[in-house]
Amino acid sequence: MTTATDSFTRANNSGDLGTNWTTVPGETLIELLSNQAANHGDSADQAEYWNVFTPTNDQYSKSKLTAVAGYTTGDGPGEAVRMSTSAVTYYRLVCCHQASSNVMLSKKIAGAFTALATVTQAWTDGDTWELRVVGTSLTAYLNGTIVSGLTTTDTSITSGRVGLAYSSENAGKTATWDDWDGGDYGASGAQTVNPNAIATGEALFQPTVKLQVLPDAIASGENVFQPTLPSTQTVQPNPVATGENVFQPTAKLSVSAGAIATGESVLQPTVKLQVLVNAIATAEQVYGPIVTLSGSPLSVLPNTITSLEAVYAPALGQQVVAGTITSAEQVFSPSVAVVTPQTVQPGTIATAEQVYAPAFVGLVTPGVFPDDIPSAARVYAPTVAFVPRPPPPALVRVAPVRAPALASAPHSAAPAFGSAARRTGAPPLRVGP
Amino acid sequence: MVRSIYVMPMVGDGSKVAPRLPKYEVSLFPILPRAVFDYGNEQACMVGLQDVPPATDTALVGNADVRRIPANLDQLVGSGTALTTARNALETFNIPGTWIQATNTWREVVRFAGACCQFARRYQGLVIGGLWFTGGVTLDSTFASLPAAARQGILDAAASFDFDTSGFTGSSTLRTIITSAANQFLAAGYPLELQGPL
Repeated sequence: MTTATDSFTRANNSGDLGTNWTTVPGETLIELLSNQAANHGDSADQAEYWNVFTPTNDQYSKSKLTAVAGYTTGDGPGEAVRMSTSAVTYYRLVCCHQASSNVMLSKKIAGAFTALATVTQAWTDGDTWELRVVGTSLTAYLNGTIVSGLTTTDTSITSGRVGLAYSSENAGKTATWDDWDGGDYGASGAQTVNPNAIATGEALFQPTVKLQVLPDAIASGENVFQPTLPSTQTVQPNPVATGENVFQPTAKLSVSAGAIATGESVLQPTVKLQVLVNAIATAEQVYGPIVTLSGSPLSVLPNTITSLEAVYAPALGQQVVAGTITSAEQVFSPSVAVVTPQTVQPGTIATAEQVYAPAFVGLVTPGVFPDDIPSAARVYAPTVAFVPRPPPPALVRVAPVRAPALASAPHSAAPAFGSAARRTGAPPLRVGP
Repeated sequence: MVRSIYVMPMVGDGSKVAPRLPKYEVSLFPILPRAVFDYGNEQACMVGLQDVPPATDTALVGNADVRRIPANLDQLVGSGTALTTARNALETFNIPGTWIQATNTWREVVRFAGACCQFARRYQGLVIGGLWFTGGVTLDSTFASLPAAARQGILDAAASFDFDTSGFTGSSTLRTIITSAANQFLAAGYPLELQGPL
């Protein structure tokens, strides 16, 4: 931030303010008189700018002014900003002691003068007047205080130098400037508040501050503590605006003891649990989930059981899906209870065959009882003797007998034909020596 | 303090003897605190006055070329005659006004008009082109019909604000261009102070 000062304490000079000053082309000079700057006659407008540096576009010019009585609205000594070095173009604040409308803020564009704002403001010779331009805002100050009604907006002039200006009354009036100060009005630079610069009773406003946690501002491994909240404060829902990025710290979050006051509600965050790959160390036990064996049969997907695992037969009633047991796996036979009676058909056992007694459960052929035949004993087929069938009896012709009319019993039972003769049961088996 | 806003002609050529002033400043409000938004080089301006005596107000609005903006800037413009009056208040001075609807507030109207003035002022400060509305040029004249210096001044003024000028073509009307510039000025958030914020 660049600024300059000039006390004008040097020899009189009716031709200029000195080497650091240049008269605006098209305007009349300002001269040095009695260690002050003074108007050079009163017949034409005058302006000089500080030529040592070009200030930033936000700039100011201020000095102590005096003016004799008799100036009228828009005339008198004043300050200038954004002064062109090649044309009569600048903003100007001039003042006088007229009873009303004695302070005017105006502009000159290529020599054309336009009043921007005019107010009435009492002042005393030697007071400090300042014209400040920031962006498109022009503001006048008297002894450091904003003059009511002399803040306005204008976009005509965007840049230039700082200096002094004078609006002639063309009536032989005189005015002076002293202790000039001007240059950058740098909000970007460090600002110094001088002792007693703020009068008692003035209001000071806190600037609007936006707190922001930058990405990666919290290093990995650092603990992040919850701030201590007074009991009167609460953390509002949705304190983070939509669209803002919120970064999760890498470190574990810990809540210090006593950080949450009694009675405060702490809400559990929504957590999604996930088992990462290789998260279970070798040799740790992993327990199977509890499965309810109901509903649809559970299936074992192919290759889900490794070759070293044992597979146990399920309880009966369950299905083993085809193809789910690989060829190298052991499968144990379930215990099966035989409930169907076993029969040995005649003639099915050849001579000299060995017949082992089955373990019978349930019904057996009459005559042979369980465990009658010891294990390993031989059983021979019995010799069956052929018994010739007796000749049939002589047939006798019998007159037909008419069937009586049926009453209640429609049929008579059919006689059994030769049942005893055709069904010759095998003789009881005999146990050989 | 109560602020009143008027739209009225600007007079004077900017010389020492005839500075550019609101037409009725010298005759009707020479001692009132005041601020002016001149419409660049054009002969129109918005004037903000503090604590206008009723007699002064009556005298001002008694002039056919003066339009007064209601004191309550937050009231709606309204329909019918009120809407026509609002539009004419701007159109009379070659400030686009046909965009105004009954549901707009007067604050929106004066902020738009103020933004038009600021764009015209930047054009004025560049000292490239002359008057816009001369030689039969109206708001509905095309950009191509303007003198080359005026076209260049408009483009330079817009560029100095970083406005988007992609829509400024030869067939664009001056109404369209000024409206676009004013809306971009407002969207950029520039302050507007006329004896107090608008």
